[in-house]
Amino acid sequence: MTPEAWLFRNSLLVSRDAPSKLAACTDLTMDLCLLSRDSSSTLQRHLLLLRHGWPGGSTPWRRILVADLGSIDNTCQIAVDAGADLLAPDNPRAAQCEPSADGDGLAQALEHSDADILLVAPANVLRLDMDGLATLALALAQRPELALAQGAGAVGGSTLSLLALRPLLSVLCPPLSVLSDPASPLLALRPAMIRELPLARTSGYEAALVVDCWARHGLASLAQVLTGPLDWHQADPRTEPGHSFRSQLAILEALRRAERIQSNQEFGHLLPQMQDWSSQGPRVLTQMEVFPWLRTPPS
Amino acid sequence: MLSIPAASSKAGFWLGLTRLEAEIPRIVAEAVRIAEIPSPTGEEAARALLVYELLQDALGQAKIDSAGNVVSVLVGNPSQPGTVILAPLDSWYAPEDHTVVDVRPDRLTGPGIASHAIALATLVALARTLAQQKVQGLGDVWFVATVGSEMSGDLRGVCALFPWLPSVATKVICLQGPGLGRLDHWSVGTYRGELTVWTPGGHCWRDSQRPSALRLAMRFSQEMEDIPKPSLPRTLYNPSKLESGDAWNMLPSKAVLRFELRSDGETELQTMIKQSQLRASQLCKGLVGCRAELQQRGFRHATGLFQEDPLVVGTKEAQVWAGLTPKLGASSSDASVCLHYGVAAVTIGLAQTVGLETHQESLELDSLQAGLRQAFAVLIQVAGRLIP
Repeated sequence: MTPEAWLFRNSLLVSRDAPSKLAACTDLTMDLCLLSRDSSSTLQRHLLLLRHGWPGGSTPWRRILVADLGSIDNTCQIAVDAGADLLAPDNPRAAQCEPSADGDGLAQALEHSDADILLVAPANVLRLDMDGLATLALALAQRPELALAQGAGAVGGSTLSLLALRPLLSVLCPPLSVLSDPASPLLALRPAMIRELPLARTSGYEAALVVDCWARHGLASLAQVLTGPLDWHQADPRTEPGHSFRSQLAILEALRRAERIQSNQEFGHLLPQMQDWSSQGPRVLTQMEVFPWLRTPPS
Repeated sequence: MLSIPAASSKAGFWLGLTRLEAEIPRIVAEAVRIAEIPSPTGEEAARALLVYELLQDALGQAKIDSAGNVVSVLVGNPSQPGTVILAPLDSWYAPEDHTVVDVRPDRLTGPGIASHAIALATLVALARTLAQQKVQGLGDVWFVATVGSEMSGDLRGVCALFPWLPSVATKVICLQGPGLGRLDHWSVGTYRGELTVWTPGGHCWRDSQRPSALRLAMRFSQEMEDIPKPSLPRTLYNPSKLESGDAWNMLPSKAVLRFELRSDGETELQTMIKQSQLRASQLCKGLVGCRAELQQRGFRHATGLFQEDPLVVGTKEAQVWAGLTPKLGASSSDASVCLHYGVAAVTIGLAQTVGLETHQESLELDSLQAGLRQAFAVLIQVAGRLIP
């Protein structure tokens, strides 16, 4: 598929009819995953609207999974009280100390979900556009060849996409320069096709996942939906330098795997990791590590 | 108008009520969706579209009329009189306000959630409930979301329903968010006037003998304050906005005064209106180059239902049955127009609220259940009545 044909066929606008069309797709199962960290001020609203405010009344998903990334407020309690399935991190105390590991959250959701389609959204936004979510899911429901549909804040993408990821892709992987916003955290996935891909553990995993998906399944497996800018509760986490760094590292590593870059070794970075927390306080080990992947695809 | 025992013995009443109460999370979610669409008077189209979709989904048909009202009907027994249930579409806050409703276990906070997103969500929920769980022996029930019910709208939405409305219904229930136990059966007579004064202007020192538009407007306002007003029926003059002035040393050449006259009595209201017109016409008498113009910006008659009216008695009974304490009162709402045209109408509130018309407007969720029970019971009492 040429980039021009892809833009014509796989670049979509939000459709107001999408929720009702999605409700008609009864042969597919769907789960929704919210990635949350200290999201008590927004999560209750999202869970109320996503469970009870869906256009037409009945929601298209079977379960709402709240993948907690180390909250220290009452996010987990809100999720449980609202009837969502809470996926807690393996080591909650460590997760609270480390930067948000969004990739871990997605990996947990993939492990717990046996649905045909998994929608992924951040919980720290003020509002989630239901028509946008429905359009993302509908793209996968109607097109079996798609493995991943990604939201796009704007045609030019978010600042991280505009200034870092899109220039990188344009130079190193021109077919993917058609993507508007590879840093967007709004995703609809087909777990059966995504589980076989490597997944960066940290935040900023999204662009690398897109590259891996392209390398494994081709350009025709990707779609993007112009969902509009996300309305973050606090600052956009993608503008944080650490997030930007991890995102670029992950995409470089994905490009190396896709053989778009020649390098003898994996990309690495300084990674502080909590080892233990005793009465003397936390013990943190800082070392040069290769980028942490949850899975390595079979060679 | 049926009594509560008669209404509650209708087949489907209790199942319907149970269904409605089970829908509270959905009602709350839809109220949040509605409140987050700013809908200032005159720009209600986006919110009207959402309410249209919700009513369409509930009843299978709905339409937006030429005024912008959303109208839908649940067809009932043709031999029984029809009923209209209304809720206002417009909001007091502007589109540029960043509207997000804060959802907590015990309350919702955000502009417009109480006034009147919860009323619109309840309107839709009542339609959905009665469509899914038929209550035997009801006439046609018209569900209408009206535009222009706030200040500047001058009730244009409900006005546009006439002369059609009396041909399909003889009783109207107006839903509003705030005021659990509220029962407004009287329309406060209201006149909204805008006085504009023009003078030649000039320099405050050099042209000090010339009249000032600002002083003239203030004189008019003072004269209106000085008019003796009866305390029964309650009557008042409220200057609400005065715009005037240029530079520090200039005589204002234009002043615009907005004011409101209110009275529970029609005669007293008309007397005050005549006084304001008389004073406006005499304000610039003998002043060279000066002119004053008084324009009507809104009007509602002082009229209503007496406490013995069956609609008031029945609504009180429903409120007591729902565990509420009826608070009879008067207001200026969509019901004002219905009452003026001789159509019996009452306005009821649905929930306890605080901080009305501020960005901290809050609705207490625990109070909603009683408000819904009351609304459902009143609707069945009214829609189940027979032609006398």
